Amino acid sequence: MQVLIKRDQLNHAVQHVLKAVSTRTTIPILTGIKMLVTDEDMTLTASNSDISIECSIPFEEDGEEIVNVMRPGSIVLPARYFGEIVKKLPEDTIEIDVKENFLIQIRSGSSEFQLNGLDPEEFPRLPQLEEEKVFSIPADILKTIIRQTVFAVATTETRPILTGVRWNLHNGSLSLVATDSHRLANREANVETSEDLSFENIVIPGKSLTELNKILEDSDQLVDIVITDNQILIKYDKVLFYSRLLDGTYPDTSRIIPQSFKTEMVLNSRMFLQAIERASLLAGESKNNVVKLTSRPGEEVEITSNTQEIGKVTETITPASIQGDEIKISFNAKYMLEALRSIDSDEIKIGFTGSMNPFIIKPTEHDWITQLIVPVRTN
Amino acid sequence: MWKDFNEQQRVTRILQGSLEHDRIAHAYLFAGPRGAGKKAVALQLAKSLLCRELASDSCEACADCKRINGGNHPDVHLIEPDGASIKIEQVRNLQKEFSYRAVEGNRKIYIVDHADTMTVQAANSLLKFLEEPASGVTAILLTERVHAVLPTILSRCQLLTFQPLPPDKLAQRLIEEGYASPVARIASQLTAGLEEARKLCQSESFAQLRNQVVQLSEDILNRGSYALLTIQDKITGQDNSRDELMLVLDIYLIWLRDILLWQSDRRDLIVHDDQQDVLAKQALRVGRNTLLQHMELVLETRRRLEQNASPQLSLERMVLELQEG
Repeated sequence: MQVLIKRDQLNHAVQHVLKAVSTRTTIPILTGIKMLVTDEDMTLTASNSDISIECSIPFEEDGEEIVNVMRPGSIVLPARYFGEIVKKLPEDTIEIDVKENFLIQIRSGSSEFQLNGLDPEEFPRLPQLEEEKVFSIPADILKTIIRQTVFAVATTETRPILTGVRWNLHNGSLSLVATDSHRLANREANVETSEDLSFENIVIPGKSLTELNKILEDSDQLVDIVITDNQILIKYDKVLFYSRLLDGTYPDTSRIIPQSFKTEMVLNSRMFLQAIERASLLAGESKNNVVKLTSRPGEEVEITSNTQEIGKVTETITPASIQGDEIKISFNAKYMLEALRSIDSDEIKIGFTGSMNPFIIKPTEHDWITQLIVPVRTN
Repeated sequence: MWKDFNEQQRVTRILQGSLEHDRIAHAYLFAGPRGAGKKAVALQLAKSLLCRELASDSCEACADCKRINGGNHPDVHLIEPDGASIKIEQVRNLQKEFSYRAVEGNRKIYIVDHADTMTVQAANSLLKFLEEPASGVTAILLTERVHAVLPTILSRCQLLTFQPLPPDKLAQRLIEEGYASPVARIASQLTAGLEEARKLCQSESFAQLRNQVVQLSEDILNRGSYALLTIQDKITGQDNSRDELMLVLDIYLIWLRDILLWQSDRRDLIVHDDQQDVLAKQALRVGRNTLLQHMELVLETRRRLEQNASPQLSLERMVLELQEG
C-alpha cells in the first residue's frame, strides 16, 4: 500500500476513529487503526469491540486532491503513536508506504517514521449491511431523543439488559425506553422509513449512545440508521458508527405507565425545577435524596424535605391548574431533576395515581416524552 | 485440524462427535496434567466452532482460524490468572462482555485457563453464568487440579479428562525425533506431554544433571563426605534454579526405582538403560527395604524444597540421612 494524503483531512479522520480505540484490551489488534485503501475509497476503522467507528476520506474535496493512491492495500496502524505522529508531522502532505512484514514508512517533509504495523486480516470485520433495513432521522433530533432517555439507564450490572436503551420501530414511529427500575424515560419520534420496516427489542448500550452523542452535531442533516443481527449502524456524514447490541429480552414496560390519574397538575417547569433543587439541598445523599410533595385541591403545592440532623426546608409553588384528590408523595429528587431537565418545555403536567404508585411527568405541548418515577415509601 | 491431535484420542473423538451432531455442551472442563494439550484442544474447539470454511473442523486458513491463532478474535476470550489467581474483576469483565451480543457471528467462546486458581468470589460469580447459559456461548475451563475446582462448578460442566501420554510412547516419539535414548526416556518419565518432554531434552543442562545424579548416587553409597562435596560443587553451587533441583531429585527417584527394578528382575522397564553396569553394582549393595526408605527420604526432601527450605541444607540433610540408613 502506498498513498499520498493531506495531513489535515487524515488528522480529522484519525481523531474521529480514535474515540473507539480501547486503551486496555485483551485483544492486541484492537489497539490499532485499520487503514483500507482501494482504488475508489479510503477508510479508517477503529474498534473496542463494543463500538466501532469507520471514517472515510474522500479522494477529492472542492476540486482539491486529498488522497493520491499509488498502490492500494490495507494495514493496521498502532493507534496511540499514529495519532500523535499525524498531529505533529511538519508538512501538509504525508506519504504512507507499507513494506513487507507490515512495516509502515511515514514520510512528510524532512521527517521519516518507521512503524511496526499489524496484519489487517486479523482486524474484526464489521457486519455487512442490508441497505433495505434503513430509517432516517435528522441529527439534532436523534441527539435530543438520546439525551432525553439515556440518563435513565441502569448504571449497575445486576441486570445488564437495563444498561441499554430499548428501541422499537412500528409504522414509522420510533420509541425509545430506558429504565433502571426506579424511573423510566420514554421518547417517541417519527422517522423516515419504508412502510414495512419494523423491529422491536433492539437494546443499545447507554455508553455507546453517550459516545454517539459526542460525535453528532446539531444539524438537520439526515442520519441513516441500519439494524443488523448483532449491531446497529449509524451513518452520519463520512462517519459510520457501529455499536454492539445487548443480549436478552427487555422487560415489557408498556403496562407500567398509568393511563388514568387521580390527581393531575400543571406546573411551570422552571419554577418547579428550582424548587426541587432547593429542597434537595437538605435531602442528604444517604437518604436517597427524598423530598415530599403535598397538595390539596385549591391550595398551593408544597415541597418539603426534612433531615433530622441537618434541618428542614419548605417550598411552595402555585400550580397553573390542579384537579383531583389530594396527594402526599415522596420521591427521589435526583430522578425528578433529571426528568425535568430532559423535558424541554415551559409547562409540565404531572399525573399521580396514589402515593404508592408511579407517577408520570409530561410536557403540556406534546405527547412525545413520558418520564415516570417510582415514589419512595416513607412513614 | 482435528487430525493433528492424535494424543488425546478419547477427548478429541468425543468433541468431534459432538461437533458433527451439533451437540456441543455449554460448558466443558478439561482436566489433565500439564503439557497434555488442553489449551491446544480448547483453541481447536473454538476454531472448529467459528471456522467459516468447515462445519466441524478448522481450516487453519480462513480469517477466523488465523485470528484465533493470533489471539485476536473478538468473540474468543481467554482468561488467565492475573498473578497467582483469577480475580473477580476478570470474571466481571467477562460477564459484561457477555451481556452484549457477539461481535461477528452468533457464537461466543470463553476459555478459562487454570480454572482452579479462581478466587472463591470469582468462581461463584462465574457460577451464575454457567447456570444460566446464554445461547451460543461455550465455556471451556482448563485445570491441572480438578479436585481444587469448586464442586458447584464441576457439576455444571462436562468433564473431559486428558490422559497423560504413556511414558514409553512418549519416549519412543522423542527417540524418533532424534534425541538420545536415555535422555528421552528420563524426560518422558518426568513430564506428561510431548511439548514439555521435548523442551527438557533440548535444554543443555538436562543431560548434565543426570550425570550428576549418577555420580551422586555412587558417592552416597561410598559413604564418606564425597557426596556432600558433590552437592556443593556440582549441584547447589552451579546456580541451579529450584526447578532444576527438583529435577535432580526426580531423576534420583527414577534412579532408585531402576535399582529396585533391577533387583526384581524387571530389566525391560529400566529407564537409565545405558547405565546397566552401574545399576547392577549398586543393586548388589543396597537392600530392598533400604531402597524404599531412600525413596521416602527423597520425596520428603522434595516436599521441603517445595516449601521453600534452603536448598543446600535440605540436600545435605538428605545425603546424611541416606548414608545413615
